Amino acid sequence: MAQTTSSNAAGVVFKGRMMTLTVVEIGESDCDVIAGQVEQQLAKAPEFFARMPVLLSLRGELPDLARLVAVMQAADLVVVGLLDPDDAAAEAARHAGLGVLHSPGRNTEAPTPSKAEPAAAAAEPASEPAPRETETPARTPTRLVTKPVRSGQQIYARGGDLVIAASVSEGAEVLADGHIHVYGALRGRALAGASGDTQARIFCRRFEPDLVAIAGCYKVADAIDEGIRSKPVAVRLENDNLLIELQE
Amino acid sequence: MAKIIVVTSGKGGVGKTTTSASFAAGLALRGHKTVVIDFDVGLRNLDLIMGCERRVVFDFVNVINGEANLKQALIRDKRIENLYILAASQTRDKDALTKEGVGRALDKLSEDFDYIICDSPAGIETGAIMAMYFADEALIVTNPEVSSVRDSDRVLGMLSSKTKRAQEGDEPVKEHLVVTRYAASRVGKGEMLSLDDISDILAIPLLGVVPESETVLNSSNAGQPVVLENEADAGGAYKDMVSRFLGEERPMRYTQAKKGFFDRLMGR
Repeated sequence: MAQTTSSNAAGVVFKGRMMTLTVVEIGESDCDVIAGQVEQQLAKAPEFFARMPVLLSLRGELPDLARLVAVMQAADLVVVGLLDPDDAAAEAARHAGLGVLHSPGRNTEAPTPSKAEPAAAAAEPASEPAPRETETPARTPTRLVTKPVRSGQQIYARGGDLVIAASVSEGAEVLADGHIHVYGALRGRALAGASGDTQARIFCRRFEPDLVAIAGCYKVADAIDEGIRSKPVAVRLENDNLLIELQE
Repeated sequence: MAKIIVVTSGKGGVGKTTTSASFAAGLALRGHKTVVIDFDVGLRNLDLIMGCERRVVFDFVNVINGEANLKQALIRDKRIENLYILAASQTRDKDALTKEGVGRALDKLSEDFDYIICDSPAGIETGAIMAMYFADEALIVTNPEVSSVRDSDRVLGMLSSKTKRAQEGDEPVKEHLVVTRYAASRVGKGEMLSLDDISDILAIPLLGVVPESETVLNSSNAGQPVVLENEADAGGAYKDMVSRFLGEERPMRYTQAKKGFFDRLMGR
């Protein structure tokens, strides 16, 4: 990686990086109940969540954070910190050695901007998990699918791009939080920017979809211009308009 | 160890049972000891097509439930040596098939036979899953029409996720495409999907093409696998299919010739 050369020279380098994190919303304070529900959720796709770094978003009463972290650890999740905690929760996070993160939109209207202490508390532990993140790969790797995606199948590249080196059949669904590339025919549904990234795009060699969508803006087959059918295209979002452009 | 082959399609009425009967008969004619099992519990048809419906005493469900042993339930074909039939029960439903029971029966058959052909019921429920679960290879029977192709696509997805091989991470089930009721003339008129269209969508190797033919219906009614009709084009197509399956080279002669003929007719 490009990073290694610079860090060799400088020894330690702090870098700001944007990345996607999974948020676990908890509206429960009983750790046993939480443990049960986490286990239930993870059972659906155990390998997918293994060693996944997560942020906790506490919506209800404050649970025992130390126990909660133990519960998450037992489920093989790595708790990085709390998302948008109130004062008490931020304090508890500090004691538990967890970071505090604020949603970008919410920072300005945070309920306690005047208090200097929680802000400092937020800044301090926030730098803690940073080096930890550089140990693990800094981004979700692109998901590569080499077999045809069959009718009824669904493939979701969480937090990254999706590359399909075959065709997507009618009745199949492919989703990605990033871009979607299809190097065969796209006949099913393709949803890029599935968690809201409006910069995501869809590329395909043969465009015959049931539906395409970027960040929730969609077009069904009926609404798609017949002239670009079966052609190589790129799909992007501009001012909430889905643009489908011919790629020759 | 026998090779277990499932004949499946998703959609009904495309020719699974006809293909199962002729494919099994074809393998037996080539000297391989073969048994064909009807998994369509509750709607059994295979015995009719094989012409042994009046000799069914015990069936597959009896074997699974331990009410009869395999020796009692296997029906020997009168025309072809090495060919046996295991009929389905008409009075039970698909829930009578259990993974353990089917697995036990197939293991036992494996000791004696070279090939076990599993004739799957239509649909994607228990019966179809049981038929495909233990398969080593699969014949996907498809008609040249969109609904059939889409259902086959669905079944291909299940073969790569719901079978024993898929779940245990073994080498995937080997898939073969069989296109039945193919009428080149109607493809030319745009009324049917062409072979290219079908191969393009399903993306699996083509094992054989069976032309639309009256002999298939006549043979079915007479209780005779169509592969035994030497003259019939459909019979020839099944013979070729078996040869290709056994690793021999055979051109897709019937469709090619017919296609050429109709192309000429249309001035192309």
